[in-house]
Amino acid sequence: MSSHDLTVAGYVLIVLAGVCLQLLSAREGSPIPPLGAVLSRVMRTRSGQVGVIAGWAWIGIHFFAR
Amino acid sequence: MSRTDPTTPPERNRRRLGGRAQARRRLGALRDPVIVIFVLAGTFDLLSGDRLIDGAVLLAVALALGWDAVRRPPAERRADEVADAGEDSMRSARGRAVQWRSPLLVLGGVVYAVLVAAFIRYSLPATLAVWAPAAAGVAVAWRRPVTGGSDPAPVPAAGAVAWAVVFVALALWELAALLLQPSLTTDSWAHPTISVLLDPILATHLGRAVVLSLWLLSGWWLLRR
Repeated sequence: MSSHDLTVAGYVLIVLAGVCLQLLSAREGSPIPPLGAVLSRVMRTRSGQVGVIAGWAWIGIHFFAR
Repeated sequence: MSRTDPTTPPERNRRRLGGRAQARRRLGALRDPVIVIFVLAGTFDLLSGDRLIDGAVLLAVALALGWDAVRRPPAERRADEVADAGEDSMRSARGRAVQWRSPLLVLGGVVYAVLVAAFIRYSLPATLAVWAPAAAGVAVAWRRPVTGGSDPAPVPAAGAVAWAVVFVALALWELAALLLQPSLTTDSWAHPTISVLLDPILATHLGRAVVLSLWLLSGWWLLRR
């Protein structure tokens, strides 16, 4: 396994962990909240609301704008 | 003619209390995790030799949030937000009248993504086309009162920690890949960052259109939180 494969496998594993959490959250009585609920909670503060949206904006700027 | 001495004991006390309150707000801003995250992200982004604008945007957000936290006492912020909430609820009601998945909105998003994807990355048209919704989104988030929406259900601490672990792991893995590059400013195929992995996808029109669609959709979804 090359360094490239290992690095990519790490990313895939992390994304899969996120997908698993999201699936687990759908089970009744699960202590895991869906990602949407966590983000809603984070966005209950002014800094959280602006921070999350600014993070989203930054992704677009980073990949497409100068 | 007698003038009130501005340094009478009550006046001095008031100033001292005001000074302490401001110092507390400054300290509070420094402890705000969102501000800390933006400061760290901006610092690492600048250190990585990335484009100056990327780090500058992150640090500008941290500065703006810190300035806002210091400038206005929490009680005043809450009062403003409550005052805005009534107006906002009317706006929300009007907003709900427009279905967020209406065919017109979806069509608009797809047309935007296909058109903007035709531009070369980092060109002036692409820059303007991406900065417009990005700035609009941040402006809406800045103006929108946090008390306007429906109160979300409490999030169990263990569940929140689980999600935090996923995002921190992603950030650390990305950081490790960055540090394992030949230099901070030289991309590495052996230790690719997310940007390096996405480059081949974003080199095609279809790839750019798909990523732009997902970006726009996620922004819209977040603004409806």
